[in-house]
Amino acid sequence: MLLYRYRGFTLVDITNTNVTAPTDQFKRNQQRNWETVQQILSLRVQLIDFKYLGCTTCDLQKFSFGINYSGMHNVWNFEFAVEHDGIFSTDIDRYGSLKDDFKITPIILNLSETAKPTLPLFYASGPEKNIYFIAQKPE
Amino acid sequence: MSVTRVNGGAAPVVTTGRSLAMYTIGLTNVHVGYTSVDSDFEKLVRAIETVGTVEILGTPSSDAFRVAISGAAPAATSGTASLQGICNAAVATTTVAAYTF
Repeated sequence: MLLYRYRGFTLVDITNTNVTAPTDQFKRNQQRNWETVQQILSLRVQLIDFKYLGCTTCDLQKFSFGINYSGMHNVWNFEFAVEHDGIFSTDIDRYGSLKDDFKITPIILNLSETAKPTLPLFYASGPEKNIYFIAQKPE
Repeated sequence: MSVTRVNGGAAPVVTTGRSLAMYTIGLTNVHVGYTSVDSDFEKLVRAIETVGTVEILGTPSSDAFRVAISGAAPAATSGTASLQGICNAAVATTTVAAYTF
């Protein structure tokens, strides 16, 4: 089976803590953001190999976040695969429906994120862009 | 954000929107293999989206493509913060021209 793999990058704290009980609200909220990502992605596809890859502090110059963010910040990344090519495409934009789905989705702030958007939302484009995706080569 | 009544309100249609700025982005061979993973075209679109929302994206052809951006679109060609500076940082030397219509 050919898999089409994507990698996502975000400035939102989506740490996969696996905390589902409200005993530790901080970790629960991190997990809530992670679940938000998972649920949005699951709207259109059956996710395969959905993996949390961790958080690193990096210079944003190497990334494609909005121009409102610069300098060293925490960047979270994750990976997933789908079975169908072009499943997120709208017209000629390979990531079109991904961007539409994430656009202005609420998130929880005041966790470990260092780059804060004006509003607690995912922005998929524009100067506040805090999430984006890159397709990997099919395997 | 503005609300415009089409045909002075005579037609039962209301559209909402923001100002659009349209640009022609030129890069040698940008139309070649533009559907490939992480092509120059993809890199350019990703870079352009850091400054504004891409509303309309044209299919690349003859070493160029056209894009309409809403939001805080920068000037086409002045300084590193310009659209051209942002595009050049993403790929290589591009040409960026504002398209008037």
